[in-house]
Amino acid sequence: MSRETLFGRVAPNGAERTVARLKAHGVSLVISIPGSQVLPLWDAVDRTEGVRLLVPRSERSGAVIAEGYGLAKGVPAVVANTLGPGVANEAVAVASARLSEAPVLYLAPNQPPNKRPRIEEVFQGLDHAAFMEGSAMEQFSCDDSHGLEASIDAALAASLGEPSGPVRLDVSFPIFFSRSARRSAAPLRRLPARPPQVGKGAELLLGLESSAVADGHLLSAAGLAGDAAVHPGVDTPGLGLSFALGLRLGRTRAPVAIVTDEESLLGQLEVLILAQQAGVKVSLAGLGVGPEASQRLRRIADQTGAAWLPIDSDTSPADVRGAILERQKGLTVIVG
Amino acid sequence: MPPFADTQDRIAVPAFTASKSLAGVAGLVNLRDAQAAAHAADGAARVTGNPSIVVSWGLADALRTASGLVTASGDRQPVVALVAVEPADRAHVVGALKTSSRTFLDAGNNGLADVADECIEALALRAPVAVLLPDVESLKVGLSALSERLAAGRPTFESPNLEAVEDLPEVLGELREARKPLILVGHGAASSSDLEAIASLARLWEAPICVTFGASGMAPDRLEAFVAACAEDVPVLAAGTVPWTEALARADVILALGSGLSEADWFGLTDARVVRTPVVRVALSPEPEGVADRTVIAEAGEFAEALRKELERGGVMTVSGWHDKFTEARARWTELVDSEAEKDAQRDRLTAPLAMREIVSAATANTVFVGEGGASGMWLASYGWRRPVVIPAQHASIGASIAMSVGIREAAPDRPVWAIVGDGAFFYCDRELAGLAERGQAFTAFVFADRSWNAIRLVQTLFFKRRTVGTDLPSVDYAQIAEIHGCDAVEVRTPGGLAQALAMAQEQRERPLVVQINIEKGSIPFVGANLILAELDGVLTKLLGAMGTSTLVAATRDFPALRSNVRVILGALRK
Repeated sequence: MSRETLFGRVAPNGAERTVARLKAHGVSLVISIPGSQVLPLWDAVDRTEGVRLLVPRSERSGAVIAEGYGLAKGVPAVVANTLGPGVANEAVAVASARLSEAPVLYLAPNQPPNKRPRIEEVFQGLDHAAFMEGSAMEQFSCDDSHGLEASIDAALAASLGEPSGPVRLDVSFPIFFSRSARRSAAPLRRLPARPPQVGKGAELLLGLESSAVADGHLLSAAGLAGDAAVHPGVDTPGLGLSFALGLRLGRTRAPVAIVTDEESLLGQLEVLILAQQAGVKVSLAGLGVGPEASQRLRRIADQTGAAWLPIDSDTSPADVRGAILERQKGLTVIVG
Repeated sequence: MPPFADTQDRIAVPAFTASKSLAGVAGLVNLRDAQAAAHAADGAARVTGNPSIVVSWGLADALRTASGLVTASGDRQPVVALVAVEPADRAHVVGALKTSSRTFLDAGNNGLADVADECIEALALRAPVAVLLPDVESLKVGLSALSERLAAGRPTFESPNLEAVEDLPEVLGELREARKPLILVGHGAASSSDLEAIASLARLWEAPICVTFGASGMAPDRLEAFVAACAEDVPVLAAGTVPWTEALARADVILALGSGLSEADWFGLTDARVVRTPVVRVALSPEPEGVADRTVIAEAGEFAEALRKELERGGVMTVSGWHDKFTEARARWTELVDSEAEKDAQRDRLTAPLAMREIVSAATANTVFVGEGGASGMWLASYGWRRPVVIPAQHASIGASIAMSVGIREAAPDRPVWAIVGDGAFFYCDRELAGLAERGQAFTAFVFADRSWNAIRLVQTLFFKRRTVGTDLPSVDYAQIAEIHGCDAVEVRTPGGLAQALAMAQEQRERPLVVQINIEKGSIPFVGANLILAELDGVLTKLLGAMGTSTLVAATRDFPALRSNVRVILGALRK
């Protein structure tokens, strides 16, 4: 794990050790909004084959993507936002993952122990553990570089336990920068992935924006029902598209579609743009929305790089279903 | 969920919600998102200096409110969050509400009535209060009652157990002997103290005044009063600028008035130990212990007045020309900043320095600027500090400026509101533009579109050998997105285009205007060094030691203003 440089081999820093351990456990996705304290992690991810960095446009949407991803894949994504407000912005997603029992590892840089007694006066200081009490399923902290690998193992094991769910691990952030010598890490016992908790064999996964906006007529018309439907643990407008993208990223073959309303879509335009960045082809359609709304939606498709799907009220249910099923690797967004 | 009936009682203080269950309440401003509603309440409190309210119902909105309240709490804004959830969800939200407020009150089954007095008392500490209520009906009753109480008279922001200036003799000797005194003015003093008294002390003592980043964002009326009181003969130095850093490094005693002496107040100089001089702190509370050498529990303005009288009697020891140095340093700084902009103007290149200069120049005197963390906030801090600027200091949160602007528009409807938004943060609250458009409210957002997380690129430039991993943003047409939200919008690429956009912003408008300013990547804000120092406090000394000062200075070669600041910091470190 050490690295060759102009000055010889250098010991890995804490961030490089973290990413190596995560990879050894099968973690392949790190979702992160930047702050100086997490940059060593970004650098380490960039140097590690097989682990991908996804940079969303808000901590909340990134964390909800992780919820969908964890449910679909059975292996947690790691959410590594910066400390203080970065962690605070995850709150609703952490609660959501707890209710849906989605395995997610929230790995946060934390202020070092000497600063915590006066955390309210520290720049971007927040008592993460107290803030997330009641939302996170379990919380760990690591203040000792020697215990880094063991802390990661424990947090991942808890996340994949029974029940599975969101687990937080606070790491004193100087550890990420530190190349100080370390004792041998505990031997790795790779954790088994959980079976995916969505779909239950259904060919189609459908992320519902919320029960309030789910269109029963559309669902039955499209031939979708029962265990094909899944939604975030906190069933509230504004999370569905991120959740659906997470499902998409966690499940590589089955098509993923979401039914939503225009208001919710307008609050999540960032996710459409992010999907393109992540290599997910988004198809957008309006169903029974009227010509003005249809025009607006087409404009949204243009601005976010989504493809426009020619579905309207005259399209037969079988054709709607067919259009979704055709997009095996895409994300279909139906505004109705 | 019980139905929420319309009420004829108009809410009398700025109050915000994202809950559709509360949509019928007259005077309650509706936002799309509960976190944005908390930011709006925060903005209203910042611009007036008075309490505001955010109201939330349900698990998701309660947690979103707590997320937003963190920013208000960091800067001790008097925001009251009235929150209700189903009994089954209480355990999920208590931790977040307790941690995001400075006072948490559980109203139990009796609603606000049982805790109203405590709530008002807690507001006197000038910090957020979260009240957990049992149901949506109690929200309505609580909102109405609290609004009336707050409208009847603002809380007095002072400690009930002030020892006034009785402790002055204990620190007088030390202060009297100061040869290079410096006054640090924090949010506490800026909010409620006699600013004339502070300026008079500075004048007699010949002390420059350093303003903390938080206090730079003092309510507009206060800022105007402060600048007027200081006039031209008291150099007021803005947080993060080169003369500010120099003054902190060179002073032989610092009198900190109303400052919490947090890392944000020092703007990241703690770990670097640039500040090594004795600090006498005057504040309403003894916390935090161990940071100041001496703490006097007193009201800042009263203390300043008492000290001035003592110094008048006994004379001052200040070295000749001490504060004049900073008048000159400030002039040099302004010249440096302006020359950056002027160079770009000469080449007809639209850059961040030029854009910021033109925006500040075009704004009327009463315009409120709204900023946030990240590079866009740093640009604002470089140029706009003598204008009313609302900006999160302690947490340097990103993504809050549009939502804060909603609150500012409500609380100060006669003032133009101009926000500086980074493209990295645009999508946190872009949807709130639609509400401003629906209400027909004028507001201008300048989106600095450099297609990158620029502040982060700065860290990568300085400490990661220019490996700019992950900091590129896709090209997005923010102007078009703004139009989709119902705003007027324009995209500019040249100085001439910006001039036209500014003319539009100056017009009487009935809709928000979004100006997308396309600028080059890698344009580093002048005060950037200090914000990065603040973030890396704890590892900075090690990093600087590992890379060597010459490497660091070399890394700043393309950024003259940043380089000046780094040199000052390194010079102080070598002492």
